Amino acid sequence: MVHALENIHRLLKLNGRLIDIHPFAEAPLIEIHQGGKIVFAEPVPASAVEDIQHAENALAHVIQLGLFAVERASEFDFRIYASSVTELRDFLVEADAYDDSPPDEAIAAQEQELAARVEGLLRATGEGAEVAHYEQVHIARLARL
Amino acid sequence: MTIKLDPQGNETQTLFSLVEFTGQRVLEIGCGDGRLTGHYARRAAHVTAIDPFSRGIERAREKLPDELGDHVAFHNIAFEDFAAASVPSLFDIVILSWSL
Repeated sequence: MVHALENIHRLLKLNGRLIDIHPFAEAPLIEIHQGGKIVFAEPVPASAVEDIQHAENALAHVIQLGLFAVERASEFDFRIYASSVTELRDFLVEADAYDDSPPDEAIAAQEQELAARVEGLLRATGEGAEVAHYEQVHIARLARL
Repeated sequence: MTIKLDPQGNETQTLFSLVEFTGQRVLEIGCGDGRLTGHYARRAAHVTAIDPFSRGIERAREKLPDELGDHVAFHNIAFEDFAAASVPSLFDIVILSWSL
């Protein structure tokens, strides 16, 4: 990751800007929404938290090396809505298709259990209910030094 | 129902509050299906958007409005390969789009 950031530094013009967008190193939530309210929320068993921490460490390292400096940072809520857990999971699987890390069977089993439970709750919640995948996302603008 | 991504537009609102794209040459790393690219490309002078996932790039090309065809280029390539083949100091802005 540090090497990738060094390459970004090389590709940027002097005074160029790096915009880094990544979720916080916390498990995403699966939520059920109905009538504008969140009626259920639970963390998703996730294996990406460690990757995010590595990325944050790499960014901190290149800042320490004097390649970049943080100018501004912010955060925002990012939700993906679907009408069923299956639809949501299919979308997330496809969005993560580039991830070639080996699957963690224990996490997969926990995900399966949670998905079945949320699907049941979603049906029981009734008309107009939606399932959502929620992440809090960090965004930073860094100056190329 | 189809999937709805960030229907509140939080991501683009926050991005535009931090970045002025007008007249800038942009590299987006990890563009996926061009979801974010489409929001800022009109403001930029030129956008190079890359992703190692070929299906995402195919979709991005399909979704790209004709009027943006001459200043947005999608490439199915890993960043390390793209960087190795590129000369220095090409871009004003590099976006790491959920991809570091």
